[in-house]
Amino acid sequence: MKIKPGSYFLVVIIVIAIVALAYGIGLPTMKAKLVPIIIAGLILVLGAIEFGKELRAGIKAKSETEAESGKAETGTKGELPRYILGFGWMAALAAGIYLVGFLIAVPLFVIAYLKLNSRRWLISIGMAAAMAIFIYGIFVVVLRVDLYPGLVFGGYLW
Amino acid sequence: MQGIATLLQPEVMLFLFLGTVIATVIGVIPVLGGAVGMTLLLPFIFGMDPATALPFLLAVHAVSYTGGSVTAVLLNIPGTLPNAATCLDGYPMTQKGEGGRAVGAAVTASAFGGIATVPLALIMIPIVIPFVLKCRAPEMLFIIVLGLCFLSVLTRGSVIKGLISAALGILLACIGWQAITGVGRFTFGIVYLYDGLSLVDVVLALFAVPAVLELSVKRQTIAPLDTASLKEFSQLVRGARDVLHYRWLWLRSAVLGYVIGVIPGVGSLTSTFLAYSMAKQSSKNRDKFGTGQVEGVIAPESANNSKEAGSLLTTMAFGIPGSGVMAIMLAAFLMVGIQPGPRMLIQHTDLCITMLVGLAVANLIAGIMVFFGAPYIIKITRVSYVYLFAIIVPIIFIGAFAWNEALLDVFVLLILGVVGVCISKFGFSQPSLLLGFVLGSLFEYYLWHSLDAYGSLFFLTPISLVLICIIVGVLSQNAIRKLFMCWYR
Repeated sequence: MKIKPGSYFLVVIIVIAIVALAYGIGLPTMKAKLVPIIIAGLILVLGAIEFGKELRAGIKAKSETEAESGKAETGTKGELPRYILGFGWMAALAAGIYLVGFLIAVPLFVIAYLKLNSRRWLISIGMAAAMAIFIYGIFVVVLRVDLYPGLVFGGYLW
Repeated sequence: MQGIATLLQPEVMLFLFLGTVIATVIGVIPVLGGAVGMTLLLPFIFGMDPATALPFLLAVHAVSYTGGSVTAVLLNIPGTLPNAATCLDGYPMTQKGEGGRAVGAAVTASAFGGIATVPLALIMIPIVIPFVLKCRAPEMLFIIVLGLCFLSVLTRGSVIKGLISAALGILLACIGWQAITGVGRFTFGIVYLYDGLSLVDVVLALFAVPAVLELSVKRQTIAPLDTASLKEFSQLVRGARDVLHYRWLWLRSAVLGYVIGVIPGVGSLTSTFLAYSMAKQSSKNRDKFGTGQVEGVIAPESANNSKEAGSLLTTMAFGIPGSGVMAIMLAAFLMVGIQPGPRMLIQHTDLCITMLVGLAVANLIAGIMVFFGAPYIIKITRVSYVYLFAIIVPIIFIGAFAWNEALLDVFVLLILGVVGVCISKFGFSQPSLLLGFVLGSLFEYYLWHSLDAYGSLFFLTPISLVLICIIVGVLSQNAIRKLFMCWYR
């Protein structure tokens, strides 16, 4: 029996609900614990029902069309590395912002992303400069946001 | 009158114009659309006057459909989901060499539809207020539950997953200090979590992060580089005259769109496809629909924009979002210090009027802009995903940071972004989760207020009982429909 990726996410949700339920029961007062217990319990019940439905559907699909379910899995597998890569770029930007701040990390991110996706140096540097000017102009000058300077330049995480 | 006078202030008009420009551009880019545009701009409105911020955001969403109609007609790519109905006859018109006529008809019908239903919504305000005044804590509680159920049941995908999404949203809202008791919940000793999750983080994680990651997954321009362009202005004018020729069709579609917009959670696709079907049924040329009939463009586009006035009225009057995107509007209300819910229409009547009239003005500006700018707007669809990703990701991060000026919000956004992508990919409901998060604390407040004031039988008030019956009906509609089909057979 094949389990769809979405069903694994359902399992994660069910686990979260169990943890939330246990945590909620341990809260000191009724007013604090009632809503978490009700909501976590609801998620647990609904999650279990939906998981059961998906398992039954998975068993039925496998017995009817083995080839089609195999093709569907390939499609999903093909997208996952790209999602991970895209998320990796976002995480790298976040790490760069933590170290050197927005005004340095963002232009570096733009240059790196464009260059590694086969864009020319002129366009990459031009766009990076435009982004830096846009961020400084809109956020620092107009909106007066105190942009994070980076750990290297004495910034705090929170 | 105060509401209209506020709208005419230079700052408000400037932001309205800016929102319209942004919406027109965003509407052309399918993955983005009005919802993501609003999400990206949410952090910018912090600290703004509500009378400036809310019409600005509303314009960004409401007129994105006008820009989206251009790509629907010329490229068979709906710029926003509701524009899909326009593709059915719009693109065949392009194939017949009448693309300009179809664009002119679509843009004119959109603009007129968005303007015409605003007076209807304004007339409804004094009719709705007496009902709202009768609502006390139990009724408020069940209105919130009804809103969550509507959105969960009537959006795409599994009903159970929609309800799980809404419940997850309420659970996320429980993180942090509880206002009633001062107890810290789900903080696990982490000081950052005592203030709860940032609303901007949740909104960006649910809508913007999945959208921008999908760009990097698809890895292509929105439209192939050799597709049709738009050159003849006279065709645009001819299309505009078609709307006048088919004015009754336009009016019927606008009213239909408005009525469907008022009903929470029905969805924008329903209004446009229903309008298309109605146009086909009532046309003398119904057999030619699908081959390039201008009526097949006028009807859905008119309904598309007209539903927004109805949707906004429901959101303002009852705190129930008329659509998934209106759930984002509710988040915007909170950010500018307006408590969403049934009292909003009473306590902020002038602001509500400003928003409704602003909607009409935004539609007018968008109509003129897209009408004359269509040949240039279409070029945006040829921008590579690489540039879009490189621009949008930093804006998302800065948006998350700017709200509290706390870098930790950026890292929390990354974690929530994983959740947002999973919610989006595996058939759960992003709007339901957001609504649960936005209304979670209100839900708890009204629950305890009801229990304290009325005891455990608080649900026995007449309006509450009616609302409970509606909730049960909404939740069991699929079962009722199946029973009916079995009985009919």
